[in-house]
Amino acid sequence: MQAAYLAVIYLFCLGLYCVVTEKNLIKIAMGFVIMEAGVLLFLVCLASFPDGVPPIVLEGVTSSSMVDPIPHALSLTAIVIGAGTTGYMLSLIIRLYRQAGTVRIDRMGRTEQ
Amino acid sequence: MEGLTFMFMGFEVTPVVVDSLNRIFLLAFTLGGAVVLAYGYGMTRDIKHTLISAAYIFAAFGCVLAGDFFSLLVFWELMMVTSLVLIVYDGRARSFEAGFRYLLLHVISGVSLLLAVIIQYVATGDMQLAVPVAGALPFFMVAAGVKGAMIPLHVWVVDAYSSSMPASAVVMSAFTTKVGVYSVARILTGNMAIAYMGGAMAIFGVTMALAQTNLRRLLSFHIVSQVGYMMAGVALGSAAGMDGGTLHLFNNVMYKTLLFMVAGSVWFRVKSENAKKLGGLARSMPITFACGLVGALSISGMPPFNGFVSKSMLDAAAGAYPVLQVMLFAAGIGTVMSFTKFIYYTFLHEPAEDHSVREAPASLWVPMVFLAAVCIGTGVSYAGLASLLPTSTVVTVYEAGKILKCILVVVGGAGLFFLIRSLIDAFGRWAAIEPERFISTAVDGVVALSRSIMERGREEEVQVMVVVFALIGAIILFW
Amino acid sequence: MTHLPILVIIVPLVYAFLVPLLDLVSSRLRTSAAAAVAVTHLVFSIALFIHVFQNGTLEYQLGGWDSEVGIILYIDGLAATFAVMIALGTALVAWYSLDFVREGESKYFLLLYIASAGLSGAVLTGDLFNLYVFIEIIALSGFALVAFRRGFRALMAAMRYMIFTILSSMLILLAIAFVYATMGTLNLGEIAASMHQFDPTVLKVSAGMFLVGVALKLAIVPLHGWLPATYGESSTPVGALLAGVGHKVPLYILIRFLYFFEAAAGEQRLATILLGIGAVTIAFGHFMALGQPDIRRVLGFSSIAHTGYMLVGLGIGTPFALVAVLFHAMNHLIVKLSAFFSVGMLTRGDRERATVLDLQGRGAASPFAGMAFLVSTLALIGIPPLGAFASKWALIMAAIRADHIGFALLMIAGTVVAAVYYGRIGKTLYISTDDLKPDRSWTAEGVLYGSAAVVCAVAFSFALFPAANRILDELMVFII
Repeated sequence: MQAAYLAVIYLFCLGLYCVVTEKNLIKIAMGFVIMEAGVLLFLVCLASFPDGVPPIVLEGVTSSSMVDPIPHALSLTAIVIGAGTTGYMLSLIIRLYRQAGTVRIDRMGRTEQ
Repeated sequence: MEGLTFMFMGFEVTPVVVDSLNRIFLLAFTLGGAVVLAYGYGMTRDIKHTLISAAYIFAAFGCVLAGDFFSLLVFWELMMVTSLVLIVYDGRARSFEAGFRYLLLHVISGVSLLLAVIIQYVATGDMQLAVPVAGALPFFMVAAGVKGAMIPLHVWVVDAYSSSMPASAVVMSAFTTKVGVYSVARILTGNMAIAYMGGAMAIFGVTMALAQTNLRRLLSFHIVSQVGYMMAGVALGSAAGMDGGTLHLFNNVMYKTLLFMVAGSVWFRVKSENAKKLGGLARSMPITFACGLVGALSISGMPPFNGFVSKSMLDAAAGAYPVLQVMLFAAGIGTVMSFTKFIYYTFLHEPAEDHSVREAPASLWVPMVFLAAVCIGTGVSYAGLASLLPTSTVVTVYEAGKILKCILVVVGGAGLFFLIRSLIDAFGRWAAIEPERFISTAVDGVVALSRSIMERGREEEVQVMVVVFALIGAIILFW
Repeated sequence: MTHLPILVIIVPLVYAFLVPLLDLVSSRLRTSAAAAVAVTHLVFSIALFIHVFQNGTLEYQLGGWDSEVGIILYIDGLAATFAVMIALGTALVAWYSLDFVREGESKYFLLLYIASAGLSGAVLTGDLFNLYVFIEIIALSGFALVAFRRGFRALMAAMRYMIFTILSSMLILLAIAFVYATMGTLNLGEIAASMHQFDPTVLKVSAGMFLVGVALKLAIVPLHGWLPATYGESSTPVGALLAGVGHKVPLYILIRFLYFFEAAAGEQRLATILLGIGAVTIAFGHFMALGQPDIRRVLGFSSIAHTGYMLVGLGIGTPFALVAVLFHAMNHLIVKLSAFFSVGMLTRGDRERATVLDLQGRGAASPFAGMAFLVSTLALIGIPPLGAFASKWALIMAAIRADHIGFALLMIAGTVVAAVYYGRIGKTLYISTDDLKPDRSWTAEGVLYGSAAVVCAVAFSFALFPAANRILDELMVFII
């Protein structure tokens, strides 16, 4: 279990690092996806415990042995939101590329003046 | 307070009160208001301008009739808004600059009053007009100081009254500062600091007035001086002081408005306000000249004009404070000198250019003549007016000693003017700073500072934000 | 009637999805339906408010699942008030947009009404994760709206806005995950009830993350970097929506979760934080507004400053102060919208840039637009009897009653600075230049809107205060 949480921290920090230091917009978008993945992993880890079974009602499965379904629901929702956001971000990057001819944020100029 | 009362927002509001203090103000405003509206329409032929002036006068009435702080505040701000419109009405860049500075100072006045009223209300639980609590006092003084042209908050007077269109200046000169005086009379009376400020204003005003070559600037600085007289009177708090100060206010509304109208009529015909360029108008504008003479003599305190009555009363009221008496006396001499300058340059001396103009139209001189008549009438017989004063004390002013003193002052002052005329001109060149420029420069400086910070700021970048996040996170965890 | 809460959210949402279909039929149908939906949304919100006012707090279970396992909508006085504000705000923006949107741009209404549904949902929900979902809905539609029809600079602004907002949303999501991990529930009521039993460090961490996320959306200093560009580059109705309406939702979240932050940080410390940050925000917002070249950015910084006012009010913490904050939120909404719309009119429907220099003399050329702008700025400064005067009065009174005279002074100093920057703009607007032909040809909608804004700016000021006092005192407390 500990390994999973360490992975969460690693993913989140890696994603954050990409977002902050990268100049290429696509890589920034990738950074967001990686961060998102870290958060989702965190949610799933919250739910699970050793020897837990998926929360599906079947013969012989007691509710106390199931992992908590609510974080699963949360992460499904977060995945959807993340997908939408990433899609939107990529389309925005495409529009920017068409106008500016580059995807590098440091060659695009500031928004003032 | 007795008067029309109703509940509003949880406290009692008394918007209309008529008592011994504001009766004379009401009379002054009524007469003054009617006259300036007639004159303003006569000069502009623009009904919109007249309507806005009427709204402004209405707001002034509201301030004077208010029985509680809240109504006072509302009408105070309303006066500011309407007078702002009047200042910028002609759309010139110069008017807008003056209007902007006016806005700045008067917003300071408005918010000071707001803060003062709230402090007062929280401390006393009562919204009715009363003596300010200690916490509220400085803010009341700032608010009254701006409106009442106390130094150094007086700069807007000269700025606005000389930069705006003459019709607007005529309207405003009769009311804004007078409301400031009213607030002192009503709320801040008995304050010796203000009384001495009044004396200082009186001297400062005439000194600066003497240095001006622009007629309206001269008159505007004079407003500061005259308001100083009024402040000294009402701030003394004694019966004589209140009576003297308020009577002086009434008289001032009459003759100051008259003088502004004279300057306005001259401008209307000659299109100039520069004393050096005017002259010789006594022959071509006789009615204007006569009215100007009446106004000048009234303001100088010459018997039998109305200024004599109120100046004598003020002189008597300041009897216990010799310093103040001397200040007012010195200001009196300065007044005579500066009005000699006004009359001489405008009407009497030989002009640099030839002005062949006609007399001002009837729509302009009828109000002037009316005011001149009032000046003479209330000077000669002031008993009826005196009954409207706060304490209605009957004062005898037509005593030989007083008359002689005043005539001496007038003659001496006029003589002094001619004697040191060149000195005055030199002084004028030296003292020709325009204090309002400082305000504009200061504002521009602050704006430039803001802009430079904006240009060098890096708050838009993600890295900065993440750093901030981290900092905040650290604070949260370890604090 | 019993389904009112969910209807408030669903009505605009349904319309949003129908927009492409309606547009196929005729664009006039789409437009009139938009107006009808906006009005319906507003009516439902008001009905909800009245219902809550008369009958007390309302709990609505989505899908019939009770609060143990399901998501509920929880509407008390605070929520209902904000719901009405939001409905009113989006209705006004929709009204302005009726004329703004051209042929073939029906996507705009889709986005606007999704945003509207999201905004309403965020204030009506009683479930923590549901709140996150609605926040994301608002954010996504916001991103698209910012870039709507504008050029490269708006795209850049949208990109920056996206990056900032997504980071803050992620923090909020993490905070929610922490809360769930420790407390085992996502229901706001149950969280409030059981909050005190938990480890203070965990509380601190989750409250901290949550607060930072909300703070960024609220654009308080120093997390305000996204705001000037976003407001400045988007088109007028979008700017109005974001500044007026969108700004209120993070405020609502802040107020709603005050108890949470209080438990984490301690009452005294929270008050200090709020007061301190509020003061800095007021000073910074007003000061930076001075130098901005673009009027919409000025309005943006003004929004930042006003948020500071509200933070200070929250920091003061007395019930009267809270009412003052709510009142100020209401006033600010109307007045900010009115200011944005007058800028839109001045720039002739965004056909021109809104920089002060570009607009020189425009006030004289388009007198109606100029008047509208003047009235809204006077209302923003706080001149009686217009808009912000009454709420400034309330805030200052709250400060003085609590002996925070320094903050009252700061607030009025801010007013003076605001007079300076609005005064400068007004001055430039009117100094006449000869080369502008008078333009009185603005369309009917714009004019109508302008007058509505002016009326609102006036009407709001006094009429509402006594009522607000009564209502909010009775209904506000969630769990404190």
